[in-house]
Amino acid sequence: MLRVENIYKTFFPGTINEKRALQGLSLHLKPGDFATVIGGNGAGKSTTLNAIAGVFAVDSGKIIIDGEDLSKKPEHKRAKYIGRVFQDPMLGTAAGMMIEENLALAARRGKTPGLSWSFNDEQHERFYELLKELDLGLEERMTAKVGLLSGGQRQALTLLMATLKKPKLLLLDEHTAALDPKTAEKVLGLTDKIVKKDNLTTLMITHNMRDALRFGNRLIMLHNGRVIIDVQGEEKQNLQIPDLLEMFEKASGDTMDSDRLLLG
Amino acid sequence: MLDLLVPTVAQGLLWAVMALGVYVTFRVLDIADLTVEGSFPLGAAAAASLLAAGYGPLVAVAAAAVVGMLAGVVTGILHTKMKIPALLAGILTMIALYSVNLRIMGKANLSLLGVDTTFSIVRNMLGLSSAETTFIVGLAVTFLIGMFLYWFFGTEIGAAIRATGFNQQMIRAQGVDTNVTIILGLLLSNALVAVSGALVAQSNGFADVGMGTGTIVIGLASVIIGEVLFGTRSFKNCIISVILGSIVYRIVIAVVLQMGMPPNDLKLFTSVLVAFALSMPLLKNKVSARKAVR
Repeated sequence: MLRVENIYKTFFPGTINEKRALQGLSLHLKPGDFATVIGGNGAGKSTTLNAIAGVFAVDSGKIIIDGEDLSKKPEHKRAKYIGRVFQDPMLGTAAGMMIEENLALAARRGKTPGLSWSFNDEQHERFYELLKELDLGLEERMTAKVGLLSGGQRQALTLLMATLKKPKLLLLDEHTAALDPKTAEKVLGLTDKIVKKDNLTTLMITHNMRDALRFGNRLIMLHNGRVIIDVQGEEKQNLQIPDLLEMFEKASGDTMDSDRLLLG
Repeated sequence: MLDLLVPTVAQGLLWAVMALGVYVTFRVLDIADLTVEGSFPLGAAAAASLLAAGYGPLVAVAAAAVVGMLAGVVTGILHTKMKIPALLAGILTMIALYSVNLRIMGKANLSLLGVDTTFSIVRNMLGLSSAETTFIVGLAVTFLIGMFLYWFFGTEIGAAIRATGFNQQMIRAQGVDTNVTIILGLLLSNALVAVSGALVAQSNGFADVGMGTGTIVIGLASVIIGEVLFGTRSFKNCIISVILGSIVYRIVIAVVLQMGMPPNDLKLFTSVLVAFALSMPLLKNKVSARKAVR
């Protein structure tokens, strides 16, 4: 489904701020893979997701989704295949527009907009049912502006928007990091439910090792811009945090120094 | 005083078309577009030249809309493709248009004395006074344009443009090219501003290369006055507010002139008014914070 082949990206090349963010990263996901992605600060987690989404062009290497080479395509053209939820709850929605309008925009992801009315009764019914499944009471507030919602509600809505039109790939960039623990748990639960229901191929970045082990069928750890650990299936199900730390030290020749990761 | 009301409201309606254009960039796209200082006299120059050359008012106003669109596209390309900051891109187009406008008219001022304009034709048809004619034409045009904007921003393209103003990252993730939506917004905005310029020139009886000075400030004043006095509950509400804001602005100007303010101070007065209105949210916060302390 997703093939990332040997991608490189250096930010600010030739300057004092030069940052080699991706250094030959390769990654293959099978259809239906739900991979959690962990790694310390600066390991290249967000950079990888942004490279796949097309926020910037990679220096070399290929990004292929479902056989189609997207490496040279701009962000808005890749959106047809990719659903995204960002770390910042403000980024995934248009604050000044109604819940229904936001959903309608997401329902047309990847289609060239035309001159027909932007939302209709048929969609309204469908949106109502889907919002009801979120169990946040949003189905009764479809004409409310999204700016009035809490961070957790906005993330849940963004998640629904990202999957409204079934994406070939779902990218979750620490989408619960900005939420309080209880809300984060709820949004993670929703994520798991939606991913399983539609059998979505998913990459989920998390700072929390426990979550990385708890969710998905696959775990990927990045270090210095490449994949250093990739476990799946039964091996992943039996993995514990101490095993993971040991694997990390062996693979990187380094000790885990990110407090945020250890705390998880 | 009352016989001043109709012409004042009529002027407000003609300028409301410009204010709606400013609303499209300033509020919908969240860009302060200075192109309008050039596209307002551009519309006036194009329409006046065509009218003076014997073309009908419809052709003249349509041509104004088209050249306004072109001006908007130029700023849009400078901003999106060339990555020039929006403010600077607008300034560049505005300055360039000064020369373009002089070229179109061939001189700095083009009189429409004795030339058939939209207003003279309608006046002869309906047998009304000059002020009443301006009022009727202004009302019809503003109504049609208001309806058009309400429809357009409710369509898929319109929704994508609005979303671009709120959150470019989000709408790109939905597969929309924000370069295109920004250019479309600037195109629409400057078309409206140029149409307004074409109407004002016909109403004044001349087009002048300097008539654009302060357009952006008048537009902002109308938008903000409208929003403060008449609300922003929905998009429809916003459009009506901007139109009413433009009328109120003209009334305020007429009143202060009547009270004896020298006309030369008009732009100073308008700037102070807009600066005050733009700082309202901050002032409001400070006042409520002080109240909370007490």
